[in-house]
Amino acid sequence: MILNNSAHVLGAIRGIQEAEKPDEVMRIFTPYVERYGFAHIHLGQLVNPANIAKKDILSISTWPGELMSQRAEKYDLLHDPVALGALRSKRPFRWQKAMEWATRRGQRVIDQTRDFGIRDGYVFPVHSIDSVSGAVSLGGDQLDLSRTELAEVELVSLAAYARLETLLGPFPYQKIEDLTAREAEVIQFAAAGKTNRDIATILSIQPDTVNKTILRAALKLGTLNRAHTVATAIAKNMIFA
Amino acid sequence: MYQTITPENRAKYAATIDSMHRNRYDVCVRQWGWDIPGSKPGYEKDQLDTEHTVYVTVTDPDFGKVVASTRLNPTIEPHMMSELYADYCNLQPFPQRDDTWECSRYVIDRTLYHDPVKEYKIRCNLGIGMTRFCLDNGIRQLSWLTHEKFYKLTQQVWKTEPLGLPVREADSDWAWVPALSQIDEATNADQRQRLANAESVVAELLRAKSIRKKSRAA
Repeated sequence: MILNNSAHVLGAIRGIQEAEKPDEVMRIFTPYVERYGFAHIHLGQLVNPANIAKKDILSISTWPGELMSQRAEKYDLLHDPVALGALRSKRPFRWQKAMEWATRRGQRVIDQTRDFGIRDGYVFPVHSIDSVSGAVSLGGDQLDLSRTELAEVELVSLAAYARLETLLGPFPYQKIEDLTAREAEVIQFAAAGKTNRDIATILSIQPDTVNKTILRAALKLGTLNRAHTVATAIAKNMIFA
Repeated sequence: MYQTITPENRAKYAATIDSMHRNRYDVCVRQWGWDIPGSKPGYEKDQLDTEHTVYVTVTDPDFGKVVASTRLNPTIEPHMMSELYADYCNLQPFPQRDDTWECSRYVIDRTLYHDPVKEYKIRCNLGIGMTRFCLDNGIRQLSWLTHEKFYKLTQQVWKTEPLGLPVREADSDWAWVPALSQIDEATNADQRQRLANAESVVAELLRAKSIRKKSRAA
């Protein structure tokens, strides 16, 4: 059965796809999400800000400039439970859900956003075959969306994100290579605090092979040391937390 | 580099078709974990591999087998959207017309490739083969049920709009989006351009990674 709201959703998507400039996309996207109660838009690729300059990624925000500066200064993205959740989640979720896994620093990041009057919101993760994952984070106040409305916003958000990426890109390709079964196994034991010698005994291989396997995994993940490799593998759902 | 296998020339490509079904099993069942009713172990084939089906395949001589393929079915015959997913199309009805075919099983075995340029070329070839078949046969639109990740790509390669809202099946968090893409010569030209410049396109995409490695080395 065709939804009552279908013309509205398709109209927004067609307009976004025909837009030739990023601000034209935003001129359609902004009033569209406002109808659902969202007053603030923050969308972009989720990459480590310590590694890649903001100019090299898709990043568009209608959040207050002061809030954005404060977040950038302290690398808040690395602690933001909403952003960290978006990397892992394949479903949209409400910001308050992210408090379940927020660290104390992460809670402060959320509180800081609330201080600027952005109290509630949803994040719509964007996953790609080629590009790093991103998200469209929409803020509002006292939001109450049905499942269908959420899907309507999700679909138009995906269209806006894809169009902005096309208009402003190409952005850096950062394919995360999959770990082999052996690499994942070794990293899994490293995550459990085992030494190379322990892992070698458990898997009946040489300690030197363990070391080489970890180095190979680090190269694939672009990580700097053992802890960084373990943390990245967990964050990418390559091993169990 | 690609082969277009139609009902008319199918007999000539029996070995390629066999290799394709095996590759589809590797990717869809082994790698993606799909549960496909009626599939034989090691050989993925279902009720939508029909006498009307056209396949586009890419064979890599280095592996001596099909490494990428897709399946095209006319929408005036039974197809996935009409038989299984009609209720997913809640924004606009799925078209059933001579100039609209359905694409399914768009499969590339990415685990075979460590060289991103080579993998990119395989992908380009599959896309070009599919678009070319459509253009040569008066097909102006392709419908498909796209995985959320692939939906984003379809929007950027073809002019694509959704037929329905994202749907998440009970056993998966990933969304599926029924979609309709326009096929035109301009798209084919862009695809050919990307294939011709594969090295530089991939180099550009890899740029950040190398910058990061250099800064670490320094």
